[in-house]
Amino acid sequence: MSRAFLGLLILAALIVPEWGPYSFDQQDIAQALATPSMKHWFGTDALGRDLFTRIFYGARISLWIGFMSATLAFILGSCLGMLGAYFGKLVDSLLMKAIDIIAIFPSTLMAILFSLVFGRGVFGILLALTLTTLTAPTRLSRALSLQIKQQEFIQAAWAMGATPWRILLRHLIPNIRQALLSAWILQVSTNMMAEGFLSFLGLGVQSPACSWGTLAHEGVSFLQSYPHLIVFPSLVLLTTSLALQNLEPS
Amino acid sequence: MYILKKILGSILSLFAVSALTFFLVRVAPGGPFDTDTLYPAEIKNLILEKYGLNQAVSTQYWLWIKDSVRGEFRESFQYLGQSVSSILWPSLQKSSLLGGISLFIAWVGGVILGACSAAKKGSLLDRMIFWMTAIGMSLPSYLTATLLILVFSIHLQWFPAALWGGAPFLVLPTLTLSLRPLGVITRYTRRSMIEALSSNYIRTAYAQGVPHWRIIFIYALRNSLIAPVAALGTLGTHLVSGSFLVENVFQIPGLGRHFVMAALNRDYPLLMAATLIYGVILIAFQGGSDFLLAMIDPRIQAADTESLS
Repeated sequence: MSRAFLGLLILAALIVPEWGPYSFDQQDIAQALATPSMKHWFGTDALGRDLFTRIFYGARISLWIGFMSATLAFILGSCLGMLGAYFGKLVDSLLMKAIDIIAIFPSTLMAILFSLVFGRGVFGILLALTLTTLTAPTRLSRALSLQIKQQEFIQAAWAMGATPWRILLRHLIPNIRQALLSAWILQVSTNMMAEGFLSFLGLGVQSPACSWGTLAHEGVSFLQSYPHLIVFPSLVLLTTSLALQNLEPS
Repeated sequence: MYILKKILGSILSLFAVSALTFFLVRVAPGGPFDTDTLYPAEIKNLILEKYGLNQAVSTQYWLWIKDSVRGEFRESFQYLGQSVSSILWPSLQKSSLLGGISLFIAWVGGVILGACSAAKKGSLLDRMIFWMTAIGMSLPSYLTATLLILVFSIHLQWFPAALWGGAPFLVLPTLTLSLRPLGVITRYTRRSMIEALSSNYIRTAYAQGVPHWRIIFIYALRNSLIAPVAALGTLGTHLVSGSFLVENVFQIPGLGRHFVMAALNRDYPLLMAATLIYGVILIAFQGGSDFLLAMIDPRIQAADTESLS
Protein backbone atom coordinates (compact mmCIF):
# COMPACT_ATOMS: atom_id res chain seq x y z
CA MET A 1 0.00 0.00 0.00
CA SER A 2 2.70 2.44 1.04
CA ARG A 3 4.75 1.60 -2.02
CA ALA A 4 1.78 2.01 -4.32
CA PHE A 5 0.91 5.37 -2.81
CA LEU A 6 4.45 6.70 -3.04
CA GLY A 7 4.77 5.42 -6.60
CA LEU A 8 1.54 7.12 -7.63
CA LEU A 9 2.60 10.32 -5.90
CA ILE A 10 5.92 10.45 -7.70
CA LEU A 11 4.23 9.65 -11.01
CA ALA A 12 1.64 12.38 -10.47
CA ALA A 13 4.34 14.83 -9.43
CA LEU A 14 6.07 14.15 -12.74
CA ILE A 15 2.96 14.22 -14.92
CA VAL A 16 0.40 16.67 -13.50
CA PRO A 17 2.45 19.92 -13.55
CA GLU A 18 3.75 19.12 -17.08
CA TRP A 19 0.72 17.82 -18.94
CA GLY A 20 -2.15 18.86 -16.68
CA PRO A 21 -4.66 21.50 -17.85
CA TYR A 22 -3.08 24.21 -15.67
CA SER A 23 0.47 25.23 -14.85
CA PHE A 24 1.58 25.77 -11.25
CA ASP A 25 1.90 29.57 -11.58
CA GLN A 26 -0.94 30.27 -13.99
CA GLN A 27 -3.22 32.87 -12.42
CA ASP A 28 -6.91 33.30 -13.06
CA ILE A 29 -8.25 36.08 -10.86
CA ALA A 30 -11.82 35.48 -11.96
CA GLN A 31 -11.61 32.00 -10.45
CA ALA A 32 -9.79 33.10 -7.24
CA LEU A 33 -10.59 31.18 -4.05
CA ALA A 34 -12.88 28.73 -5.81
CA THR A 35 -13.96 25.80 -3.67
CA PRO A 36 -13.32 22.27 -4.97
CA SER A 37 -15.29 21.53 -8.14
CA MET A 38 -15.06 19.40 -11.29
CA LYS A 39 -12.98 22.09 -12.98
CA HIS A 40 -10.58 22.63 -10.07
CA TRP A 41 -10.50 19.40 -8.05
CA PHE A 42 -8.90 20.93 -4.96
CA GLY A 43 -10.15 24.48 -5.60
CA THR A 44 -7.94 27.49 -6.27
CA ASP A 45 -5.86 29.85 -4.13
CA ALA A 46 -6.10 33.63 -3.65
CA LEU A 47 -4.58 34.28 -7.08
CA GLY A 48 -6.75 31.72 -8.84
CA ARG A 49 -3.97 29.16 -9.22
CA ASP A 50 -5.15 25.57 -9.39
CA LEU A 51 -4.41 23.91 -6.05
CA PHE A 52 -4.35 20.36 -7.47
CA THR A 53 -1.56 21.30 -9.86
CA ARG A 54 0.30 23.23 -7.19
CA ILE A 55 0.18 20.34 -4.75
CA PHE A 56 1.85 18.01 -7.24
CA TYR A 57 4.32 20.68 -8.23
CA GLY A 58 5.02 21.12 -4.50
CA ALA A 59 5.46 17.35 -4.20
CA ARG A 60 8.59 17.60 -6.33
CA ILE A 61 10.18 20.15 -4.01
CA SER A 62 8.99 18.59 -0.74
CA LEU A 63 10.04 15.06 -1.68
CA TRP A 64 13.29 16.25 -3.22
CA ILE A 65 14.35 18.23 -0.16
CA GLY A 66 13.33 15.46 2.25
CA PHE A 67 15.07 12.79 0.19
CA MET A 68 18.23 14.73 -0.62
CA SER A 69 18.89 16.14 2.84
CA ALA A 70 18.34 12.79 4.55
CA THR A 71 20.46 10.94 1.99
CA LEU A 72 23.35 13.39 2.11
CA ALA A 73 23.25 13.43 5.91
CA PHE A 74 23.24 9.63 6.04
CA ILE A 75 26.09 9.15 3.59
CA LEU A 76 28.23 11.76 5.31
CA GLY A 77 27.17 10.78 8.83
CA SER A 78 27.78 7.05 8.34
CA CYS A 79 31.28 7.74 7.05
CA LEU A 80 32.05 10.08 9.95
CA GLY A 81 30.71 7.59 12.48
CA MET A 82 32.77 4.76 11.04
CA LEU A 83 35.85 6.98 10.92
CA GLY A 84 35.41 7.84 14.60
CA ALA A 85 34.92 4.22 15.54
CA TYR A 86 37.92 3.08 13.48
CA PHE A 87 40.46 5.65 14.67
CA GLY A 88 39.15 6.14 18.21
CA LYS A 89 41.01 8.43 20.61
CA LEU A 90 41.53 12.01 19.41
CA VAL A 91 39.76 11.74 16.05
CA ASP A 92 36.75 10.17 17.70
CA SER A 93 36.48 12.70 20.51
CA LEU A 94 36.89 15.65 18.13
CA LEU A 95 34.22 14.27 15.84
CA MET A 96 31.82 13.65 18.69
CA LYS A 97 32.48 17.14 20.04
CA ALA A 98 31.56 18.62 16.65
CA ILE A 99 28.39 16.52 16.59
CA ASP A 100 27.50 17.69 20.11
CA ILE A 101 27.82 21.29 18.94
CA ILE A 102 25.51 20.68 16.00
CA ALA A 103 23.08 18.95 18.35
CA ILE A 104 22.59 22.06 20.47
CA PHE A 105 21.97 24.14 17.36
CA PRO A 106 18.19 24.06 16.82
CA SER A 107 17.39 23.31 13.17
CA THR A 108 15.08 26.30 12.96
CA LEU A 109 17.90 28.58 14.06
CA MET A 110 20.24 27.14 11.46
CA ALA A 111 17.60 27.39 8.75
CA ILE A 112 16.99 31.04 9.61
CA LEU A 113 20.70 31.80 9.53
CA PHE A 114 21.22 30.00 6.22
CA SER A 115 18.18 31.67 4.72
CA LEU A 116 19.76 35.01 5.66
CA VAL A 117 23.10 34.10 4.13
CA PHE A 118 22.00 32.27 0.97
CA GLY A 119 18.61 33.86 0.47
CA ARG A 120 15.34 32.05 1.08
CA GLY A 121 14.95 29.04 -1.09
CA VAL A 122 15.72 25.42 -1.72
CA PHE A 123 19.49 25.62 -1.28
CA GLY A 124 19.57 27.21 2.17
CA ILE A 125 16.94 24.85 3.51
CA LEU A 126 18.65 21.80 2.03
CA LEU A 127 21.96 22.76 3.61
CA ALA A 128 20.40 23.52 7.00
CA LEU A 129 18.46 20.24 7.09
CA THR A 130 21.46 18.20 5.99
CA LEU A 131 23.66 19.71 8.67
CA THR A 132 21.17 19.41 11.50
CA THR A 133 20.29 15.81 10.67
CA LEU A 134 23.95 14.84 10.55
CA THR A 135 23.93 14.03 14.28
CA ALA A 136 21.66 10.97 14.21
CA PRO A 137 23.41 8.89 11.50
CA THR A 138 26.87 9.75 12.85
CA ARG A 139 26.00 8.62 16.36
CA LEU A 140 24.17 5.56 15.08
CA SER A 141 26.90 4.35 12.77
CA ARG A 142 29.56 5.04 15.40
CA ALA A 143 27.70 3.06 18.04
CA LEU A 144 27.03 0.16 15.66
CA SER A 145 30.61 0.12 14.40
CA LEU A 146 32.04 0.13 17.92
CA GLN A 147 29.79 -2.79 18.79
CA ILE A 148 30.78 -4.80 15.73
CA LYS A 149 34.46 -3.92 15.99
CA GLN A 150 34.74 -5.93 19.21
CA GLN A 151 33.08 -9.05 17.89
CA GLU A 152 35.07 -12.17 17.21
CA PHE A 153 34.60 -12.39 13.48
CA ILE A 154 36.19 -8.99 13.01
CA GLN A 155 39.10 -9.91 15.23
CA ALA A 156 39.45 -13.15 13.32
CA ALA A 157 39.54 -11.19 10.07
CA TRP A 158 42.27 -8.95 11.46
CA ALA A 159 44.22 -11.95 12.63
CA MET A 160 44.03 -13.47 9.16
CA GLY A 161 45.59 -10.32 7.76
CA ALA A 162 42.60 -8.62 6.14
CA THR A 163 43.20 -5.02 5.08
CA PRO A 164 41.16 -2.21 6.70
CA TRP A 165 39.32 -1.66 3.41
CA ARG A 166 38.33 -5.29 3.17
CA ILE A 167 37.06 -5.26 6.77
CA LEU A 168 35.16 -2.06 6.10
CA LEU A 169 33.53 -3.18 2.87
CA ARG A 170 33.03 -6.91 3.48
CA HIS A 171 32.40 -7.08 7.22
CA LEU A 172 31.44 -3.74 8.74
CA ILE A 173 29.13 -2.16 6.15
CA PRO A 174 27.03 -5.29 5.44
CA ASN A 175 26.41 -5.61 9.16
CA ILE A 176 25.30 -2.07 9.89
CA ARG A 177 23.54 -1.39 6.57
CA GLN A 178 20.11 -2.59 7.59
CA ALA A 179 19.88 -0.48 10.76
CA LEU A 180 21.11 2.60 8.93
CA LEU A 181 18.62 2.08 6.10
CA SER A 182 15.62 1.85 8.42
CA ALA A 183 16.71 5.01 10.20
CA TRP A 184 17.23 6.69 6.82
CA ILE A 185 13.63 6.09 5.69
CA LEU A 186 12.34 7.66 8.88
CA GLN A 187 14.71 10.57 8.40
CA VAL A 188 13.35 11.23 4.90
CA SER A 189 9.90 11.57 6.40
CA THR A 190 11.14 13.73 9.29
CA ASN A 191 13.07 16.03 6.98
CA MET A 192 10.11 16.39 4.65
CA MET A 193 8.04 17.47 7.63
CA ALA A 194 10.80 19.83 8.76
CA GLU A 195 10.82 21.42 5.33
CA GLY A 196 7.06 21.93 5.55
CA PHE A 197 7.49 23.43 8.98
CA LEU A 198 10.17 25.90 7.85
CA SER A 199 8.32 26.89 4.70
CA PHE A 200 5.19 27.35 6.76
CA LEU A 201 7.09 29.85 8.92
CA GLY A 202 8.00 31.67 5.70
CA LEU A 203 11.67 30.67 5.86
CA GLY A 204 11.72 28.16 3.05
CA VAL A 205 10.56 27.96 -0.52
CA GLN A 206 9.03 31.21 -1.74
CA SER A 207 6.11 31.86 -4.10
CA PRO A 208 5.45 31.36 -7.01
CA ALA A 209 7.42 28.15 -6.50
CA CYS A 210 5.97 26.10 -3.70
CA SER A 211 6.39 23.14 -1.43
CA TRP A 212 3.60 21.71 0.70
CA GLY A 213 4.67 23.95 3.56
CA THR A 214 4.56 27.05 1.36
CA LEU A 215 1.02 26.13 0.28
CA ALA A 216 -0.07 25.82 3.91
CA HIS A 217 1.66 29.11 4.66
CA GLU A 218 -0.32 30.80 1.89
CA GLY A 219 -3.52 29.12 2.99
CA VAL A 220 -3.38 29.93 6.68
CA SER A 221 -4.74 33.46 6.30
CA PHE A 222 -7.91 32.03 4.74
CA LEU A 223 -8.38 29.50 7.51
CA GLN A 224 -11.86 30.61 8.53
CA SER A 225 -13.50 30.90 5.16
CA TYR A 226 -11.44 28.58 2.93
CA PRO A 227 -9.91 25.84 5.11
CA HIS A 228 -9.38 23.62 2.04
CA LEU A 229 -6.34 25.75 1.14
CA ILE A 230 -4.47 24.49 4.19
CA VAL A 231 -6.18 21.13 4.69
CA PHE A 232 -5.43 19.58 1.27
CA PRO A 233 -1.67 20.23 1.18
CA SER A 234 -1.32 19.19 4.82
CA LEU A 235 -3.26 15.96 4.28
CA VAL A 236 -1.01 15.03 1.38
CA LEU A 237 2.02 15.65 3.59
CA LEU A 238 0.43 13.60 6.38
CA THR A 239 -0.33 10.64 4.09
CA THR A 240 3.12 10.72 2.51
CA SER A 241 4.78 10.77 5.90
CA LEU A 242 2.66 7.83 7.10
CA ALA A 243 3.49 5.91 3.93
CA LEU A 244 7.21 6.53 4.38
CA GLN A 245 7.06 5.41 8.00
CA ASN A 246 5.38 2.15 7.04
CA LEU A 247 7.84 1.46 4.26
CA GLU A 248 10.22 -1.33 5.13
CA PRO A 249 13.48 -0.90 3.27
CA SER A 250 14.61 -3.93 1.36
CA MET B 1 35.55 14.80 37.58
CA TYR B 2 32.85 13.49 35.27
CA ILE B 3 30.60 16.49 35.95
CA LEU B 4 33.48 18.95 35.60
CA LYS B 5 34.32 17.53 32.18
CA LYS B 6 30.71 17.82 31.10
CA ILE B 7 30.46 21.46 32.21
CA LEU B 8 33.71 22.37 30.48
CA GLY B 9 32.50 20.70 27.31
CA SER B 10 29.20 22.58 27.47
CA ILE B 11 30.94 25.95 27.77
CA LEU B 12 33.04 25.07 24.72
CA SER B 13 29.89 24.15 22.78
CA LEU B 14 28.27 27.45 23.72
CA PHE B 15 31.33 29.29 22.45
CA ALA B 16 31.17 27.47 19.16
CA VAL B 17 27.45 28.06 18.71
CA SER B 18 27.73 31.76 19.58
CA ALA B 19 30.66 32.24 17.21
CA LEU B 20 28.84 30.45 14.37
CA THR B 21 25.74 32.56 14.86
CA PHE B 22 27.68 35.78 15.26
CA PHE B 23 29.67 35.39 12.06
CA LEU B 24 26.84 33.92 10.00
CA VAL B 25 24.52 36.87 10.64
CA ARG B 26 27.31 39.27 9.75
CA VAL B 27 28.01 37.43 6.51
CA ALA B 28 24.33 37.71 5.59
CA PRO B 29 23.50 40.68 3.41
CA GLY B 30 21.71 43.57 5.12
CA GLY B 31 22.39 45.38 8.38
CA PRO B 32 20.29 46.47 11.34
CA PHE B 33 19.86 50.08 10.24
CA ASP B 34 19.41 49.63 6.51
CA THR B 35 15.80 50.73 6.62
CA ASP B 36 16.69 54.16 8.05
CA THR B 37 17.47 55.55 4.60
CA LEU B 38 16.25 59.01 5.53
CA TYR B 39 19.32 59.87 7.56
CA PRO B 40 22.38 61.43 5.95
CA ALA B 41 25.61 59.47 5.98
CA GLU B 42 27.16 61.30 8.97
CA ILE B 43 24.26 60.47 11.23
CA LYS B 44 24.30 56.89 10.07
CA ASN B 45 27.97 56.64 10.94
CA LEU B 46 27.22 58.03 14.39
CA ILE B 47 24.58 55.35 14.89
CA LEU B 48 27.00 52.65 13.80
CA GLU B 49 29.63 54.04 16.14
CA LYS B 50 27.22 54.14 19.08
CA TYR B 51 26.57 50.42 18.71
CA GLY B 52 30.19 49.61 17.88
CA LEU B 53 29.23 48.30 14.44
CA ASN B 54 32.05 50.08 12.58
CA GLN B 55 34.73 47.92 14.17
CA ALA B 56 36.06 44.71 12.70
CA VAL B 57 33.71 41.77 13.19
CA SER B 58 36.28 39.82 15.20
CA THR B 59 36.74 42.79 17.58
CA GLN B 60 32.98 43.02 17.95
CA TYR B 61 32.82 39.34 18.79
CA TRP B 62 35.59 39.71 21.34
CA LEU B 63 33.78 42.65 22.99
CA TRP B 64 30.55 40.67 22.99
CA ILE B 65 32.27 37.73 24.71
CA LYS B 66 33.72 40.04 27.35
CA ASP B 67 30.31 41.56 28.02
CA SER B 68 28.58 38.20 28.13
CA VAL B 69 31.06 36.71 30.57
CA ARG B 70 30.39 39.66 32.88
CA GLY B 71 26.68 39.03 32.41
CA GLU B 72 26.06 42.32 30.63
CA PHE B 73 23.84 42.37 27.59
CA ARG B 74 23.56 45.50 25.50
CA GLU B 75 20.55 47.43 24.37
CA SER B 76 18.38 45.96 21.68
CA PHE B 77 18.61 47.62 18.26
CA GLN B 78 14.93 47.31 17.56
CA TYR B 79 13.40 48.20 20.92
CA LEU B 80 15.26 51.42 21.65
CA GLY B 81 16.36 51.96 25.22
CA GLN B 82 15.36 48.50 26.39
CA SER B 83 18.01 46.09 27.55
CA VAL B 84 17.98 42.66 26.01
CA SER B 85 17.34 40.96 29.34
CA SER B 86 14.26 43.08 30.07
CA ILE B 87 12.82 41.97 26.72
CA LEU B 88 13.79 38.32 26.87
CA TRP B 89 13.08 37.55 30.52
CA PRO B 90 9.25 37.79 30.36
CA SER B 91 9.18 35.95 27.04
CA LEU B 92 11.41 33.21 28.42
CA GLN B 93 8.98 32.70 31.28
CA LYS B 94 6.07 32.27 28.88
CA SER B 95 7.99 29.88 26.65
CA SER B 96 9.22 27.84 29.61
CA LEU B 97 5.71 27.47 30.97
CA LEU B 98 4.50 26.34 27.57
CA GLY B 99 7.44 23.99 27.08
CA GLY B 100 7.33 22.65 30.63
CA ILE B 101 3.68 21.66 30.48
CA SER B 102 4.13 20.11 27.04
CA LEU B 103 7.18 18.20 28.22
CA PHE B 104 5.23 16.85 31.18
CA ILE B 105 2.27 15.77 29.02
CA ALA B 106 4.52 14.23 26.38
CA TRP B 107 6.82 12.37 28.72
CA VAL B 108 4.45 11.10 31.40
CA GLY B 109 1.69 10.43 28.89
CA GLY B 110 4.11 8.74 26.52
CA VAL B 111 5.53 6.43 29.18
CA ILE B 112 2.04 5.41 30.35
CA LEU B 113 0.72 4.86 26.81
CA GLY B 114 3.88 2.98 25.82
CA ALA B 115 3.74 0.75 28.90
CA CYS B 116 0.05 -0.03 28.36
CA SER B 117 0.57 -0.84 24.73
CA ALA B 118 3.52 -3.11 25.52
CA ALA B 119 1.59 -4.82 28.32
CA LYS B 120 -1.24 -5.63 25.92
CA LYS B 121 0.98 -6.27 22.91
CA GLY B 122 -0.97 -7.22 19.81
CA SER B 123 -4.33 -6.26 21.29
CA LEU B 124 -6.81 -3.76 19.91
CA LEU B 125 -5.54 -1.16 22.41
CA ASP B 126 -1.98 -1.67 21.18
CA ARG B 127 -3.00 -1.18 17.57
CA MET B 128 -5.08 1.88 18.41
CA ILE B 129 -2.16 3.47 20.26
CA PHE B 130 0.14 2.58 17.36
CA TRP B 131 -2.03 4.37 14.83
CA MET B 132 -2.67 7.33 17.10
CA THR B 133 1.05 7.87 17.62
CA ALA B 134 1.76 7.32 13.92
CA ILE B 135 -0.72 10.03 13.01
CA GLY B 136 0.51 12.25 15.85
CA MET B 137 4.05 11.99 14.55
CA SER B 138 3.10 12.54 10.91
CA LEU B 139 0.63 15.35 11.43
CA PRO B 140 2.37 18.59 10.47
CA SER B 141 2.18 20.75 13.59
CA TYR B 142 0.76 23.67 11.63
CA LEU B 143 -2.16 21.49 10.58
CA THR B 144 -2.71 20.39 14.19
CA ALA B 145 -2.65 24.00 15.30
CA THR B 146 -4.99 25.28 12.61
CA LEU B 147 -7.43 22.38 13.01
CA LEU B 148 -7.53 22.90 16.78
CA ILE B 149 -8.21 26.60 16.27
CA LEU B 150 -10.88 25.86 13.66
CA VAL B 151 -12.71 23.34 15.84
CA PHE B 152 -12.21 24.52 19.41
CA SER B 153 -12.07 28.27 19.10
CA ILE B 154 -13.94 29.20 15.93
CA HIS B 155 -16.74 26.62 15.94
CA LEU B 156 -17.10 25.53 19.55
CA GLN B 157 -15.60 28.70 21.08
CA TRP B 158 -14.22 26.79 24.06
CA PHE B 159 -10.70 28.15 24.04
CA PRO B 160 -9.20 31.42 22.78
CA ALA B 161 -7.52 31.15 19.38
CA ALA B 162 -4.44 33.21 20.14
CA LEU B 163 -2.55 35.58 22.43
CA TRP B 164 -1.55 35.12 26.02
CA GLY B 165 -3.63 35.23 29.18
CA GLY B 166 -4.71 32.71 31.79
CA ALA B 167 -4.91 28.95 31.70
CA PRO B 168 -7.46 28.69 28.83
CA PHE B 169 -4.92 30.33 26.52
CA LEU B 170 -2.48 27.52 27.24
CA VAL B 171 -4.66 24.57 26.22
CA LEU B 172 -4.41 24.62 22.42
CA PRO B 173 -0.69 25.58 22.23
CA THR B 174 0.39 22.86 24.66
CA LEU B 175 -1.74 20.27 22.86
CA THR B 176 -0.09 21.20 19.57
CA LEU B 177 3.38 21.24 21.05
CA SER B 178 3.13 17.93 22.92
CA LEU B 179 1.50 15.76 20.26
CA ARG B 180 4.63 14.81 18.32
CA PRO B 181 6.92 14.25 21.35
CA LEU B 182 4.13 12.18 22.90
CA GLY B 183 4.24 9.83 19.93
CA VAL B 184 8.02 9.57 20.03
CA ILE B 185 8.13 8.77 23.76
CA THR B 186 5.31 6.23 23.43
CA ARG B 187 7.22 4.39 20.71
CA TYR B 188 10.47 4.35 22.68
CA THR B 189 8.80 3.13 25.87
CA ARG B 190 6.85 0.42 24.06
CA ARG B 191 9.93 -0.96 22.37
CA SER B 192 12.09 -1.09 25.48
CA MET B 193 9.23 -2.39 27.63
CA ILE B 194 8.71 -5.30 25.26
CA GLU B 195 12.42 -6.03 25.46
CA ALA B 196 12.39 -5.84 29.26
CA LEU B 197 9.36 -8.12 29.47
CA SER B 198 11.16 -10.88 27.61
CA SER B 199 14.08 -10.99 30.05
CA ASN B 200 14.73 -13.73 32.58
CA TYR B 201 13.98 -11.83 35.77
CA ILE B 202 10.50 -11.04 34.51
CA ARG B 203 9.85 -14.68 33.69
CA THR B 204 10.98 -15.57 37.19
CA ALA B 205 8.62 -12.98 38.64
CA TYR B 206 5.71 -14.44 36.65
CA ALA B 207 6.66 -17.92 37.80
CA GLN B 208 6.51 -16.73 41.38
CA GLY B 209 2.98 -15.48 40.79
CA VAL B 210 3.53 -11.73 40.87
CA PRO B 211 0.44 -10.00 39.39
CA HIS B 212 0.67 -8.74 35.79
CA TRP B 213 0.21 -5.02 36.47
CA ARG B 214 2.78 -5.14 39.26
CA ILE B 215 5.32 -6.70 36.94
CA ILE B 216 4.66 -4.04 34.31
CA PHE B 217 4.75 -0.95 36.50
CA ILE B 218 7.19 -2.00 39.22
CA TYR B 219 9.51 -4.66 37.80
CA ALA B 220 9.80 -3.81 34.12
CA LEU B 221 9.19 -0.07 34.07
CA ARG B 222 12.48 0.92 35.65
CA ASN B 223 14.48 -0.90 33.03
CA SER B 224 12.34 0.34 30.19
CA LEU B 225 12.73 3.96 31.29
CA ILE B 226 16.23 4.05 29.83
CA ALA B 227 15.08 4.67 26.26
CA PRO B 228 12.58 7.47 27.02
CA VAL B 229 15.07 9.16 29.37
CA ALA B 230 17.79 8.96 26.75
CA ALA B 231 15.34 10.56 24.31
CA LEU B 232 15.05 13.67 26.51
CA GLY B 233 17.84 15.39 24.61
CA THR B 234 16.05 14.95 21.28
CA LEU B 235 12.81 15.92 22.97
CA GLY B 236 14.35 19.25 23.94
CA THR B 237 15.19 19.97 20.30
CA HIS B 238 11.64 19.00 19.28
CA LEU B 239 10.13 21.31 21.87
CA VAL B 240 12.38 24.24 20.96
CA SER B 241 11.68 23.91 17.22
CA GLY B 242 8.00 23.33 17.92
CA SER B 243 7.81 26.44 20.06
CA PHE B 244 8.82 28.59 17.07
CA LEU B 245 5.77 27.40 15.19
CA VAL B 246 3.34 27.36 18.09
CA GLU B 247 4.30 30.85 19.19
CA ASN B 248 3.98 32.01 15.61
CA VAL B 249 0.54 30.50 14.99
CA PHE B 250 -0.93 31.34 18.40
CA GLN B 251 0.66 34.81 18.50
CA ILE B 252 2.35 34.16 21.85
CA PRO B 253 5.04 36.76 22.66
CA GLY B 254 7.55 34.07 23.67
CA LEU B 255 11.24 33.53 23.06
CA GLY B 256 10.76 31.87 19.67
CA ARG B 257 8.92 34.83 18.21
CA HIS B 258 11.51 37.26 19.51
CA PHE B 259 14.20 35.07 18.05
CA VAL B 260 12.71 34.95 14.55
CA MET B 261 11.98 38.68 14.57
CA ALA B 262 15.48 39.47 15.83
CA ALA B 263 17.03 37.41 13.05
CA LEU B 264 14.91 39.07 10.38
CA ASN B 265 15.52 42.59 11.76
CA ARG B 266 19.26 41.94 12.30
CA ASP B 267 18.82 42.87 15.96
CA TYR B 268 22.23 41.39 16.84
CA PRO B 269 22.23 41.80 20.65
CA LEU B 270 18.76 40.27 20.97
CA LEU B 271 19.58 37.45 18.55
CA MET B 272 22.82 36.56 20.30
CA ALA B 273 21.23 36.51 23.73
CA ALA B 274 18.38 34.33 22.50
CA THR B 275 20.85 31.95 20.83
CA LEU B 276 22.74 31.60 24.11
CA ILE B 277 19.52 30.89 25.98
CA TYR B 278 18.58 28.18 23.48
CA GLY B 279 22.05 26.69 23.74
CA VAL B 280 21.80 26.55 27.52
CA ILE B 281 18.32 24.99 27.36
CA LEU B 282 19.41 22.26 24.95
CA ILE B 283 22.57 21.52 26.93
CA ALA B 284 20.46 21.30 30.07
CA PHE B 285 18.18 18.78 28.38
CA GLN B 286 21.13 16.67 27.29
CA GLY B 287 22.85 16.97 30.67
CA GLY B 288 19.66 16.21 32.57
CA SER B 289 19.12 13.15 30.42
CA ASP B 290 22.67 11.90 31.07
CA PHE B 291 22.29 12.53 34.79
CA LEU B 292 18.95 10.70 35.04
CA LEU B 293 20.34 7.81 33.01
CA ALA B 294 23.23 7.40 35.40
CA MET B 295 20.74 7.42 38.30
CA ILE B 296 18.54 4.74 36.75
CA ASP B 297 21.36 2.56 35.56
CA PRO B 298 24.75 2.97 37.30
CA ARG B 299 26.44 0.93 34.58
CA ILE B 300 25.89 3.74 32.08
CA GLN B 301 27.99 6.31 33.93
CA ALA B 302 30.79 3.83 34.41
CA ALA B 303 30.80 3.02 30.70
CA ASP B 304 30.68 6.68 29.72
CA THR B 305 33.60 7.78 31.87
CA GLU B 306 35.58 4.83 30.61
CA SER B 307 35.10 5.82 26.99
CA LEU B 308 35.98 9.43 27.78
CA SER B 309 39.31 8.76 29.43
